[in-house]
Amino acid sequence: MKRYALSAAVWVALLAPAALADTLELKDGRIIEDRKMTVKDDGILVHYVNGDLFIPKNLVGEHFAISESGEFTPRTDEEKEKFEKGFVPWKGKWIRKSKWERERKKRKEELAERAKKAKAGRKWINRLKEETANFTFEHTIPEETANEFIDLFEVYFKAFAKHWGVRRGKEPKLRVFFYHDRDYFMQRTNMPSGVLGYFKFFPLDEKELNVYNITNDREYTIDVIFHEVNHYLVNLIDPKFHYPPWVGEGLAEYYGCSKWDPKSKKLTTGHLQPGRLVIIKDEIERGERMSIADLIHMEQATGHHYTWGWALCHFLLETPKYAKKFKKFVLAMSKSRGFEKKDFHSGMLTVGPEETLKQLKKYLKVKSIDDLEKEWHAYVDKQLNVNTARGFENAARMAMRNGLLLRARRYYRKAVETGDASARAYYSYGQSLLYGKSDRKKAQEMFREAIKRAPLNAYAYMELGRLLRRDGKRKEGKRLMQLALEIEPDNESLWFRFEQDLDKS
Amino acid sequence: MLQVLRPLIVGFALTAMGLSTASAQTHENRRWGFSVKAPSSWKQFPVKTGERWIVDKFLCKRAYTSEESYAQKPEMRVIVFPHSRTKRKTGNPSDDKDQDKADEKDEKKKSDQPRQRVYRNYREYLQKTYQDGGYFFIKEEPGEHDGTTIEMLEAKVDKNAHYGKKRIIAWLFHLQDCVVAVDFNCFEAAYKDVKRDCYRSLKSFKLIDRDPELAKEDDSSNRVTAKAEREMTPEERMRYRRDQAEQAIRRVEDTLPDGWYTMRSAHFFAASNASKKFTKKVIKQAEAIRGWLDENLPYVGEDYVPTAILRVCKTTDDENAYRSGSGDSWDSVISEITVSERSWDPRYEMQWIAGLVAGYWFQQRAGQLVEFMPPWLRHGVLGHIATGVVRGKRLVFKPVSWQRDALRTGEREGKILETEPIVKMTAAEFYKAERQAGMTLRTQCASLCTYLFSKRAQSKKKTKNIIQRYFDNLNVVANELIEKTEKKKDKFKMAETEEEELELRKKRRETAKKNARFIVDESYKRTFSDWDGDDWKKLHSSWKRAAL
Repeated sequence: MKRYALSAAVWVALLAPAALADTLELKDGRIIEDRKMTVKDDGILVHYVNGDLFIPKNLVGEHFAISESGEFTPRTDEEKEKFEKGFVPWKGKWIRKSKWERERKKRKEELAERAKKAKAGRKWINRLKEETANFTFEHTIPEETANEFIDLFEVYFKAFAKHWGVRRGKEPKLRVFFYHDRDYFMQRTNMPSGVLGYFKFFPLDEKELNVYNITNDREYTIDVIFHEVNHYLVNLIDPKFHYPPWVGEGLAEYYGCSKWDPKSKKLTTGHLQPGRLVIIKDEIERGERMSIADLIHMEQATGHHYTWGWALCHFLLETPKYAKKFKKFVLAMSKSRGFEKKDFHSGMLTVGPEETLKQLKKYLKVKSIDDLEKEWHAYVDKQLNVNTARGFENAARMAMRNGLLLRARRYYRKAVETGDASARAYYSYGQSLLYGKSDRKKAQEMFREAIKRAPLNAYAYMELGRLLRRDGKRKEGKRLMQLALEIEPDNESLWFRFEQDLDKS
Repeated sequence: MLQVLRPLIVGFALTAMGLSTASAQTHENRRWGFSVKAPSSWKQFPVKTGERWIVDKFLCKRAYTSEESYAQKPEMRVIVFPHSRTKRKTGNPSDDKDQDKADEKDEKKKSDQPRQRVYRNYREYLQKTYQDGGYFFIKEEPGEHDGTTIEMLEAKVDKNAHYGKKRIIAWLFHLQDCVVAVDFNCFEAAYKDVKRDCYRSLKSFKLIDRDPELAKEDDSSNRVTAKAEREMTPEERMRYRRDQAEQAIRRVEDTLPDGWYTMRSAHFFAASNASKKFTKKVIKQAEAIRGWLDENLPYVGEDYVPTAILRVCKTTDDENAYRSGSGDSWDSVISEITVSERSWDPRYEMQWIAGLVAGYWFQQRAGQLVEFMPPWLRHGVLGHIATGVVRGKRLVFKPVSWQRDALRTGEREGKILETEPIVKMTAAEFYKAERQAGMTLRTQCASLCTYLFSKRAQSKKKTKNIIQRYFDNLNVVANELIEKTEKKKDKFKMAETEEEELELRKKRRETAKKNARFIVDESYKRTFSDWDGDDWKKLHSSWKRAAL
C-alpha cells in the first residue's frame, strides 16, 4: 500500500480538485469568507468575481473552513483498483468510502466551527484572555499571533528589568488590550485616527496598554509595542515620578526600534529610528539644530522629543563612556534625594530643566553641556545613517509627511533595491513614481510587485487598475479596480478613488 | 456665474426623510412607512438643521447621574439608512443604471456641491459618529418583529467614556428600501430603570402606509462648496445665502417639537424650549451685538449677513443633546448659535452669545479678510466684543472677573508685553509668545481693543478711529497680496530633482513667512506711520491705567 505522506493541503486538493473552501482566516487575523476557494500545494486560490487571488501558505492562518464538494478522482492504476473496491485515501491510509464520508462530514463541521469561532473571536465579548508573569492580556487577534506577541512582552520585560534593575514589586500586572485592526481599536478606545497605541498611567491603579495589529506590517506593530510598553517599564522605576519627555519619549523611541526574533526569543537594542533620523537631518539642513538645553527646557511633550530626544538617548546609551553614567542618572532622577524635585500633578513629582541640566553635567562628568552637545551633534552627523530596507521605508514615510516627495521616492527606491522591502514599500514607491516626471511603466511594475508580496493589498489593485485605464486598457483596469473593492468592500477611501475615476471617464 | 442656481433653488425637502407628523410621543414616517412610539415620559427633541440621517430624537424627562457624578438624560434616536444612499456604484452598467439615471438628472452634479458623508449601515454609522466612549457589542441577534426582519443590538460603552459608562440599545428594522435604526443611549447607571421602557418602545414599531408623493421629493441638498460661493457675484451670493437661511428656518419651523416655540427679530430666528424671558434676553443680546457691529464696523467687509438661527435650550444637557448629530450637518451658511438657560456657568452665557454672533458676522461679512487679520486684531476685536452684555437699554463692554484676574496676575508675573511688539507679531510669533505668556496675551489684546474703542481713546488724536484705519489699510494690503499671489500662480512648477524640491519647499515656507510679515508690517506702517516710540509708550500706559 502506498503511504500518503502528503500535506493536508495537497490531500484536500487530491480529494476535491474543484473549487472548495469558503472561509479563510489569515495569520494577521483578516477573514475572507463567502468565496469559492481552491486549495493548492503552496497556498489557496480565492475566486473573486473580478479575478482569482493566490494567497501563499505563509499568510494562511491555521483556521479555515472548507465546504467540500466533489469526489476523489483516482489518478494511477493502483488508486483506481482501490477505489473500485470501495476504498478512498484519508490521512495516509485507505479507508472505506462510507467511513470517509462520515469523517469528511465531521471535519467539515469542525472547520466550519473553527471559522465561526475565528470570526466571533473578533468581537470583544468573545475575546481571549491570557495571563503571564507580568501581564494580563485581552485580545481579538488570532491565537498564534497573540502567542508570539505575548512572548515578546515577557522577554522585553525581563530584558529591561535586567538593564535597569527594575522590578514590578507590588505593582499589579499590566493589563494589555490588543485589537485585531485599527477600526476596532478606534471603536473600543474612542481614540482619534493617528493614534497607534497608548499607555494609560493614571489613575495609578488602572494602568493599561492598548494597541492594535497593524495590517500588513508586523514590524510596525512590534515597534509600537516596544514604544508603549517602555512607558510602562520606565514608570516602574518609580510609579509616582514623571520623567520629563526628553527621557520618557527618548527612551521609548530608543527601545521602540528594538529587534525581536520570535524563534530565538531574543531582542536587541540600539538600532536606528530612520523615520526620526530623516526629520533630524532635514532640520539640520534647514539650520534648526536642537541644543540640549532647548530640548530639556521643553517641559511639554512635542515632536522634538521623539526625534531629538531619541537621538540624545541613543547617543548617551550607545557611547560606552556615557552609557552606564546615563543609566545611573536616569535612575537617580526619581530615586535620589540629591535631585531637587517639583510637583507634576495628581501627587506625582518631576524634575525641572535647570536641575536636570545641572545633574546631567555632574553624572556624565562633562566639563560643560556645550561640550557634550558638540560631541552629540558630531555623533548625529557621522554615526547615524539609514541603511536597511525598513530604515529606508520609514525614512521615505517621514519625507512624505514633510512634503518631500522626490526624496521619499529615492528612499523607497533604496528600500526596494535592498531586495528586502515590504509590500507596502513597493506600493508606495509605485505611487511616488507618479509624481512630477512620472514613470507609469515602472509604477505599474511596482504595484504588481506589491501585489505579489501582499496579494490582498486592495490599494495596489486600485492604483494599478487606474493606471491601466489611463493607458487605454480600460476593461482590464476596471476589473482590477472592482477587484480591489471586492477585497475591501468597506473601505471608503477605495470607493472614493473608484468613483473619482469613473466620474472622470 | 452659476446660472443653474436661479431656477433650481427649490425648497429643501423638509419631509423627504419623513419627519414626524404625529404626537409628541410618536414618530410617524409616511415617507418610509413606519411609526414608533417613544417611552411615555420622554419628549420629542429637535434634530440639527441640515441633519441627513437622524429623522427624530426623544429625550427622557428625567436626568440620571453617572458614577462620575454627571447628570444626563437618556436619548432615543430614529435613524434612516435608505438603500439609494447607502448603495455604492459598482462600475457595472446593469447594476448602476438607477444610480446613473439619478446622476444624469442632476446636471450641475458634484463639482460645486460639498461631498457628503455616506454611512452604509448602522454599525458603520456608530463607529464613525459615536464619541461618548469606546464600546463593544454584548448582544447582536437576528430576529423578527411583526413580519419585519430585525437585528437586536446592545453595546457597553466602557472605555474612555465621557462623563461615565454608558449603554446602547438598538434595533435595526430592515424594510424593503431602507434600514431604520431606533437606538437608545443612557448612562449605565440608568440602564436598569429605562431598559423596560426602551424595549417596549422598540416593540411599538409598526409599518404604516406610505405617502407616494413624499417618495417623489428630492432629498438632495442644493448647498454649494465654499469655493463655488466665493466665485458668485455679490448679488448672487446674497440671494443664495438668503435662500439657504430661509430654507433652514422653514425646516426648523416645520419640525418644531411640542414644548418648543419660535421668535423672530430683525436679524435672528430663535427656536427655544427655555423660558420666554430668557429667550427674549438672548435675542436682545444678539441684536445689540449685531447692531453694534453694523454701526461701529461698517468698514469691515460688505457681504450680506443672513439671518442666524439661535437655538435656546433650557439646560446644558438639552444643548449637548441638540448638538450631537451625524457629523455632516455643519454648514457655513446656516450657522446656529446654541446657548442654554441653565448652563453649568450661567454667568458667561451672554458673553458666549456675543462672541458667537461676532464670529458669525465677521465670517459672513468679510470671510476672506478674516484670514488676513493679524492675531492681535483677531483676538483683540473679537475678544472685546465678547465682553459686551446688555444692561438695561445699553450694551456695556466690561471684562469678566477671570479676565481682570488674568491681567493682574500677568502684571505681577511680568507676562504683560509692551503693546507695539504685539501689534507687529505674525501668527507664528504670537502663538510662540503665548506659550510663554499663557492666556494673558489674548486677554491683553482684547483689553487693548476695549480701550481703543472707548471714549477716552476716541477723544485722543492718535487713537481716534485707529481700528478703522487699521482695517482699511489691512484690506488694501490684503488685496495687494492676493493680486501678487494670483500673478505668481502661473509660474508654479513641479520640482524635477530633490535639490529643486528642497529649494521649492524652502521658498514656499519663506514665501508664507514673507507674506505673513508683509501683511503685518504694511498694515502697521500705513496705520502708524506718524507714531513714534513715545506714542507707543503713552498708549501702553493709558491702556494699563484703564485696564489694571
